[in-house]
Amino acid sequence: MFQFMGLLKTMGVVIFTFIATSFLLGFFNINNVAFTVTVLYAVCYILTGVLSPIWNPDTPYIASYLASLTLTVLNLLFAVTVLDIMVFADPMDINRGLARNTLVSLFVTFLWIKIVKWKQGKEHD
Amino acid sequence: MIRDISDIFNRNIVTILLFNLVLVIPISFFSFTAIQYFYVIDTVEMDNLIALFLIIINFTALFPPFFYLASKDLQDQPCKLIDMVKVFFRNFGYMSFITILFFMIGAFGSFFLFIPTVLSIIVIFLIPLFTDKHNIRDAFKGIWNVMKKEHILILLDIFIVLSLNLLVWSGSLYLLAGLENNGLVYITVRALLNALLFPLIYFYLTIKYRDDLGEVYGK
Repeated sequence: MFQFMGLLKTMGVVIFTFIATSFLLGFFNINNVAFTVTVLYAVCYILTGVLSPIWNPDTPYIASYLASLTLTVLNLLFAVTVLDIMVFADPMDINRGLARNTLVSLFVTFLWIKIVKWKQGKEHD
Repeated sequence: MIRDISDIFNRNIVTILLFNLVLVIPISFFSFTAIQYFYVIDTVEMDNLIALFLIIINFTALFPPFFYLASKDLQDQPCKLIDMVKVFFRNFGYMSFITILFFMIGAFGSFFLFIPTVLSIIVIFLIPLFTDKHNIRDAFKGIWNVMKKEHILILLDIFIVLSLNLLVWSGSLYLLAGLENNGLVYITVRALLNALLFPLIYFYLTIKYRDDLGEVYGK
């Protein structure tokens, strides 16, 4: 059974990590915007993939997919409303972003489930 | 009532101080600098509403760890700092979701004679007290029971909390008014005041509204 509370917990931790990581990256004084954004997004979507099976053990893949999709849409909306960047101008860009983020999260979820199963198998032996 | 609050405060003073240093002061700092940022930037409209929302979420997001501490203390069990941090991270998304939802309802409910606004204020105020329930429906049942029992007196409690904040805030501004200040000073003072006042308010609310938690004080 899909748990809505688990999804909310995952998203809350990821949003908090997003804020904290961007604050910490500000100390390093990196002028390369692409690098900073890549690090931020990698950290956040990998964390989404790891946390979804922990708080949603029955339906890990759909939880991971929904969480990363919602976070991507929130990011886009924030960029449009607050920072005034024209994100919605290029449809291919949106498509690429959604596909990439969800794929990263789903792949990490897959790896995490495999690792947990492998560890449990090792403990049983 | 005040004696029981100070009892809980004294018994867990080290944990509370450490938690203040780790989370309460940084989060207050973040939210108030965010308010300043939203005021400076010109792409955002209705920045007053966003400022109010950030102040409210600063209150609600920090509530669950202190509620956890108070409920552990009422059951005579020790509480560690790391547990409080875990409780904070576990409930952050839930609290933000409920706060955003009911803040929107309250903001758009001003067309209906402010009735949805009052109801959503009560829900936002009381929802952190029911974070030990594992289901949103159970939490709303608890809120409904409290609302049936206390009706309008909850608004009086909200009024008490607001005026306590305002009193200490204006008192501290008298000290700083003669000096040359910038925004950072006010933000720092506000964060320190939050660290001082929030635990007391949280313990007061926990003792008052959750009388099913073990031994009941103040009666």
